[in-house]
Amino acid sequence: MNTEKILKKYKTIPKYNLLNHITPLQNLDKIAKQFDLQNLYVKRDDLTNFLGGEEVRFYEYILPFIKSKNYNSILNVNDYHSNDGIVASMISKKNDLDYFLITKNAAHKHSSGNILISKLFSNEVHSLDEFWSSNIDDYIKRVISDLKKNNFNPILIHKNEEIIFLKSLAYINAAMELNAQFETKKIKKPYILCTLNESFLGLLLASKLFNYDWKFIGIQIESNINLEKMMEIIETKSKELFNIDIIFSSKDLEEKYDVSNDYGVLSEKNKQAILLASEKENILLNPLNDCKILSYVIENTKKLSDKNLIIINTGTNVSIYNYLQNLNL
Amino acid sequence: MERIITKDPLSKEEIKKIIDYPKIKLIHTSTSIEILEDKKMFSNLKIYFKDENQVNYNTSGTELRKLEYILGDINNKKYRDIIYLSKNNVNMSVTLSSLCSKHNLKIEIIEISDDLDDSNYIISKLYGAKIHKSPEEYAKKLINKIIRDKQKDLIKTYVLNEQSIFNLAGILAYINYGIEIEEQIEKLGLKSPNFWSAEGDTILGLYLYSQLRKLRWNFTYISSSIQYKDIKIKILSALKHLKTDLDFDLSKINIIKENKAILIKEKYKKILILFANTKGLLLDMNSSVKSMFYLMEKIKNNQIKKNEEIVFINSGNFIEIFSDKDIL
Repeated sequence: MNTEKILKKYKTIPKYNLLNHITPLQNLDKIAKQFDLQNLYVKRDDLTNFLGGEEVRFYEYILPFIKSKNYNSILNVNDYHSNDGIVASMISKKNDLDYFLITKNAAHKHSSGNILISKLFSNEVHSLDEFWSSNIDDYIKRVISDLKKNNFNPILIHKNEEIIFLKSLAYINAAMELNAQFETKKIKKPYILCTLNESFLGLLLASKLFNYDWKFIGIQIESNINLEKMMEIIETKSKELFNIDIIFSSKDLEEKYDVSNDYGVLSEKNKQAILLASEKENILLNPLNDCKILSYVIENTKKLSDKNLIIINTGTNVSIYNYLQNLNL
Repeated sequence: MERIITKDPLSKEEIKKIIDYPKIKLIHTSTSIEILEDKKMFSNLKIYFKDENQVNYNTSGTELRKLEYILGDINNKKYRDIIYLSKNNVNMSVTLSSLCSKHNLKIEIIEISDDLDDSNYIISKLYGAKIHKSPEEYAKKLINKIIRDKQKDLIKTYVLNEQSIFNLAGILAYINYGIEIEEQIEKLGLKSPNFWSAEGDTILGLYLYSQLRKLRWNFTYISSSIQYKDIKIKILSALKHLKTDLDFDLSKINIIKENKAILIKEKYKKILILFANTKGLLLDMNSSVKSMFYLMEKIKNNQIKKNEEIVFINSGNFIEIFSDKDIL
């Protein structure tokens, strides 16, 4: 199937327009200069509409799916500092959907940052202790049962295979935007640095569909991401949608950088990355994921010095408020 | 005065010439007007909600518009070092700090309010701003000391509050913004909109735009202290800077006096939560939540006409939410 046919098929997927502008590809020339890097850019998906972040792109495709299946509410499961709870709850309220959130390991945590915003927008936020967090599947069943008794028909976003595929499809749009931006800025052979999730896989999928000459470096920030399983889902569903054999493999990644042991932790080097980006480049990096990409770049300047590096900044700014006191400003 | 305004409206091009001050473009998208309908909250009225949160999520929409002109002035005069005297102007402090980071400027903020734990100030520091806390009576001395210290290194300093653009920028910004709003108002088919805001520059800028264009726009301005004579002085001063003469009609502006009682603050919080929880909208806690409170009170008391076309301007910036530990 040629590019035109793929695009034609892609455009048939139902989509809501939540993002009415192209997010900037910002040159981080001051940081690049400081660390002797040839080129360092950031795709500012923190500047999508609503409260920013990759979720805005995701829900452009998730919302029509939800509506088409006659769900009247969303149920999601997140860690207490996760972004979906804030952006999705806000978007769902604007689209006449109720939103219920189960947050793991959140009992007794102070309502700041993400939890605060989630609580503002959600119908209910269930803050789980360690016991229920480790028995999450049982807890989800109980919540779904209760919601159904109260006339809610919720879609469970968590680990939903359809949703995983829709999220990755959403990042095909981001990939096309990026490709156009690379052409305008004459950026050749870019190295895409992104946290390992559906956004990453969407960009990888697009690079295979459209034969982009891109290299990928994946940053693993949490251990419970099952990349191989997600790859399988996307391969199968891409075959059904585009009638093309897409094969993912570990060789698609130039490097996989695993920082999952530090999930939810703001280390000293992460703090430095946040301060550097905010002071020099006017970017508030998400302390959970995007700052870890910049930390990786700073740690690996020698081997990355001659590359065209593209950080995909997929987080929202809200997460910074979880950690304000930790920044010791 | 170079320009005398006749009875005929000025064209948009003529207005652009009047406000032709140095400017750095910071806002690249228009902010939408969405229609809110909710019998419980607004009876049978439609509320047209202009959301300035949409300009940029690091910063306040209203301040960002002003700073297009302020940064233009700084750039034009070739300053690199800025001082801003803040009287608890948290939205301006954080937005200015953010932009100074982006434009490679050094910013020092003198804050005369006591509450420096505010999230806005932590974010300002994150953007590299140096923040000094000072009692009001020593602020000027502190500014002079900073200027002297910089002079020793042959650095000249731009004290924002002392520049003529400081008081003019917000009005310029909202005259300019009037062009976008007029087009949206036309598309919505509104004949005689009533703009609600607690932001002085928003009201005065849009008011001047409507007077220059001879539009049938009305305004409701929520303020704890402003009086018509203050508005008149501000407008005359702005017109002098714009070298423009204009007969203006202040009856188009209705002032609602804000009650500063503590009890009201609790009601503001309830409105913030109500809007988030039912509409997916974040009201700015410094100003918009107040104007929404008074709008809802007026609706509740049947003081708004059925055919009134209310255009509510949410000035943007949600950072303040994180300062209030007991908000929920």
